[in-house]
Amino acid sequence: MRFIKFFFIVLGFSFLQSCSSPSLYQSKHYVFGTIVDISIYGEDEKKAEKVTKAVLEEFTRLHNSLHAWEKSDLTNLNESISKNKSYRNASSELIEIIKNARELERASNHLFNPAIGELIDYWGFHQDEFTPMHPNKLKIKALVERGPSLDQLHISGSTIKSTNSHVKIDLGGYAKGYALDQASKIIHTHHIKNALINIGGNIMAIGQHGNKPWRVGIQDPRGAQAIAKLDLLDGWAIGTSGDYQRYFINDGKRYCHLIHPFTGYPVQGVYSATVLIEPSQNAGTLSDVLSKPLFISKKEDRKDIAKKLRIYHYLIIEDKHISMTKTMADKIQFLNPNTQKNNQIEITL
Amino acid sequence: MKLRSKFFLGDGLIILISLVFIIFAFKTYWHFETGSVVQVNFQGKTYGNFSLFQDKKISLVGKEGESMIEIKNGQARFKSAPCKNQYCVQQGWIGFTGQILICIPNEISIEILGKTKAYDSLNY
Repeated sequence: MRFIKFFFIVLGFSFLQSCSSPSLYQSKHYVFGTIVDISIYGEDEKKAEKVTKAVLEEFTRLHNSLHAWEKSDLTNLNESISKNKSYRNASSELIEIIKNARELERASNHLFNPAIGELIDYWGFHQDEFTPMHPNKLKIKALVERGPSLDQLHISGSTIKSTNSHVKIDLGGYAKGYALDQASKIIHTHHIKNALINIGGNIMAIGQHGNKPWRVGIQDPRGAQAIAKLDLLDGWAIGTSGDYQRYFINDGKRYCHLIHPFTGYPVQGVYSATVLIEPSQNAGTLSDVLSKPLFISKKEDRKDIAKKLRIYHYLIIEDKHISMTKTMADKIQFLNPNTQKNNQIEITL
Repeated sequence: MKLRSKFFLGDGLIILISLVFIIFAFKTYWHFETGSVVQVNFQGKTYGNFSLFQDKKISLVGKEGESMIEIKNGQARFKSAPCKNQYCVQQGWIGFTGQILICIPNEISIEILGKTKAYDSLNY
């Protein structure tokens, strides 16, 4: 009897707790041409504000250093490359980023290729607000045949030189993830235990939200709400490549910003590819980069590329079709029962 | 043997546990609650929370020009935007908890708030 009473008291408390408002500090900012959303749990407001400010300063620094079309260290490097000149005194950070991006380009069989800035620019995506354009087949063919790759860069000390003047580096699929890793470092050095950082949809969790893990919604690529949710545990990161954020429609056809480096055309048919990355030094970077090869690769090649890149948890949404790995299926919960009814769900191993 | 129609402690327990389970299930699985409040964020700050049960137009002048938010029949939308792409306007009305519309050029987002939030942040 006493036990039963105790049971109900505990139960009652747990309900009370779920109703009380926790000490959650949340702020939204506009950096990287997108929204940065920072949540910090369980710290006093002053400290949370201070750390948020430090993180934002870092983001602004990265924005100014890595921007693909506004004047930055990266555009300076691209300018040197286009003039067949050596770029001297590159920061050790920039060199580290390029080396790492190059490894990822190789590992992804060049599906992730940050050197195709000329193509992206041609499609008009090197503008904050772009205009629908009519692509010229011959021009695209010519741009693809120039074959830019980070492999053509030669780095010695702090000097970067390219053997192909058509390499134009665009870190659009890398920088936001890298920024997450940087933010994670800053947050840890300030001894903040619980935070959730969202840069334009790429999210990294540190600690948890009180006594529950941080919970993250995955956007429905054809709706204004989340299609599913999952718990993002300490150190994990999630990223999505989609055709619904940066795109234009011409003659009823959708052209998204994700360009296939081999064909030169935007990928069509895939709505979104989401990857969930286990904790590591560069989980943020990987969450940004690794969704690209999955989004771009042919359907039949996905399994191999995921295996090669060690992507264990992914979710791909297409027209009336959702495919995901078993481990991903175990982790996510669809929010609307109709999702399972209206889509063919395929579980891969 | 005599059957007594007495209300046992166990009956009470079953009723209580069932009630607790129903409340729990409701809280956990009922996500598509219609919201009652729309939160408007403008240039990194909360501009205001507005009841959805009113007819109202909110005009915000940002870097790009004027964005018009409309609230009507328990829903909200971007009625007009100064940008070229008009993504936010095309997305139409929102009214369920957790739905969000974002206008990046003009630094505005509108989000439907409810009692419970299905998640802390959105991956897109």
